[in-house]
Amino acid sequence: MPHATRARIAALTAGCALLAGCSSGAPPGEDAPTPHGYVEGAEETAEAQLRLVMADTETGAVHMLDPVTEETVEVAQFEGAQAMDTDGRFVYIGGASSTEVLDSGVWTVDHGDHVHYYRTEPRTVGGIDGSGFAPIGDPAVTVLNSAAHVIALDRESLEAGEAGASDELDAEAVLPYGRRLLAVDGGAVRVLGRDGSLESELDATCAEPQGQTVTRRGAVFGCRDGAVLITGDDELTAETIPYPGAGVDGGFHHRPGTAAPAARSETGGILVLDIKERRWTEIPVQGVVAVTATGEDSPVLVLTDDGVLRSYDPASGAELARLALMTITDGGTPAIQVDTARAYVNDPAGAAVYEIDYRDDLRLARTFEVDFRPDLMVETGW
Amino acid sequence: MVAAMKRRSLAALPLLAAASAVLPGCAAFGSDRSGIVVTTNILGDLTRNVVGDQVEVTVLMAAGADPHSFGVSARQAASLEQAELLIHNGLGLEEGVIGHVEAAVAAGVPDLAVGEHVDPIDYSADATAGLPDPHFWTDPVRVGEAVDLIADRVIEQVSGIDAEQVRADAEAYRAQIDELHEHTTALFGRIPEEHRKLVTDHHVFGYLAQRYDFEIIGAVIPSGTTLASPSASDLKDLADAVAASGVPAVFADSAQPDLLVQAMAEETGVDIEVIPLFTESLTEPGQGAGTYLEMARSNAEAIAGGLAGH
Repeated sequence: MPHATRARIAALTAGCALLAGCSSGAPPGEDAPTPHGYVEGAEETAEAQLRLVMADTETGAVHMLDPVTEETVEVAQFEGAQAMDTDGRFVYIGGASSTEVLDSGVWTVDHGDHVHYYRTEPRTVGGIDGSGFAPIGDPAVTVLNSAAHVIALDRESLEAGEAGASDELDAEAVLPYGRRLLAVDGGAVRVLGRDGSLESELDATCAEPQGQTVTRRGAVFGCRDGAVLITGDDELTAETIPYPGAGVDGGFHHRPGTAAPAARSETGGILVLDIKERRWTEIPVQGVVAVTATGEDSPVLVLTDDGVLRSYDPASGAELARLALMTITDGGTPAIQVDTARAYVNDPAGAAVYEIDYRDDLRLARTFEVDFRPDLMVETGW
Repeated sequence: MVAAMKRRSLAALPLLAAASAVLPGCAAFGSDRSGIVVTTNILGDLTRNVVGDQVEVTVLMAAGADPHSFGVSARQAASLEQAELLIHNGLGLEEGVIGHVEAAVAAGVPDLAVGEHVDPIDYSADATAGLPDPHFWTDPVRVGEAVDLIADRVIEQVSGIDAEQVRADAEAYRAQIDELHEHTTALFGRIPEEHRKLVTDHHVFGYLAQRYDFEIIGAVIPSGTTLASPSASDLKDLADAVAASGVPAVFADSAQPDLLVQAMAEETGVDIEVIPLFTESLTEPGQGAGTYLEMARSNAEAIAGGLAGH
């Protein structure tokens, strides 16, 4: 029997070889098996691989800190960095008129009932025209929103180390949601296919989109009169959750995926949207330097210009705890980044990053001292 | 002789695959399909035990890989479309290659989605409740059924195969699976009923729990940054789960098990034992789960060892 099998293979191969084109074969690169994961060289790990990516805006040095090993390595050099944001894996470092993309090499794939964590080597990916982008991604695409334009980046190309494969989208604000895109343009809220083709228009209006985000309970655009919440799987529906007073000013900030995003309000305070209850909470704090929400029934964190970190109950707006962290000076942008366990706050002037247990009355868990100015910071690996 | 044959046919396959990948016309050699392609390494082990050396078995998923996300090369994808039989788990397990599997089936490759034919159960956890649970291999009884299904389908689809030999090989292997089930039943019989509780963050043991009457107590296993500077609140979920189970065994993969044990003792006063289990993939030979039988036996002994002594 083995002989028969072998003979059949040989005959088929010979038969094909007689036909033009058969002899060309596959490119050598495609012959190597890729047994595991989406990216060559990626390693699956038992635990989340979180990294704090930081830039010193004076020197342009970009460092990555692994909070488990407590080691910091310099991974790139970008002169003129002014802002930094992430889609969970790729870091977008904005300059005056262009944006550099860094692959932090750590990410999570969510399979619903469980997640997988991956790690590969960090590397620079390339540059994109424009700056001031707010990225939001899914496994297939990362959309970069800015006041001037909206760009969709193909994740596969980014993973291959190329930033070139981008499409400019004709809309004011766009989100990847499900296997589609949601776009706000001229007040209308539209559902687009991944190729940008119009699928349908939702029954809601969104004037002057301010920010946008995706949560486990739906996608949100912050509009002039309220939040437009889009929910559903195949059939999408939109509803407006009106602001209690002043509207949001700028984007939403929250632990990735969680359904209670926070934003600054036009009057300088904080607005928290409880998506489950379709309800806004106002927190009348002033002097906000940075804000983020940690989840439903979990505190909202605010850093104020006196250098104090405060936590608030997202339902009542009551202050729960406070912790004096730093002296805020000119230059540098302190940010609050949150994962399932901890919050991190960068202290540019103090050359430190603070690790906060936000569920334990803002307990200062660890302080990482660094030998550069962490002017900008994002957390990746989610 | 057999080994030599294998080497030669392996060398021939890439040529075949490359040629047919370039030229769609080659697919017209429908009757010239050959070999069995299997997606996961667990199913690959079952299949090899059923067919022996009679036919080439290509397993797409490497040892130690993740069945949800492994991918295939262009060569492997092409071999899949030329297979005489495609054996896969189904029930949504092989997300990374589902496109290739569907394309092959659409192109007329005979297939067997094993999981769909072994009386699948649904997840009961919140986020995925109601969806079918693909991890049937944690129940040896269903694996025994799977062996019979594979044997039947192989005899039906693989031309020129010695059906009697396949039946004999399947029966011999089935006897080993039955023995595994008996052994497992006996091991678990030593665990007092009130301690048949698995505190775990693994999502694959629903079938085992149903077969052997365990309760799964899901727990968040503190890791990484939490263990670096833990507080009682970080460890409360796990401490509560351990208290509910009444035994100190925690079945989880921890990158720092000693640190976890120490943190639990210091912060919550709860003594735990961290016991790793094999979940979704075979290992390389000699690393504890080189075969399905080795994997299942090892898990049964680890669970019994963790729960029976208390």
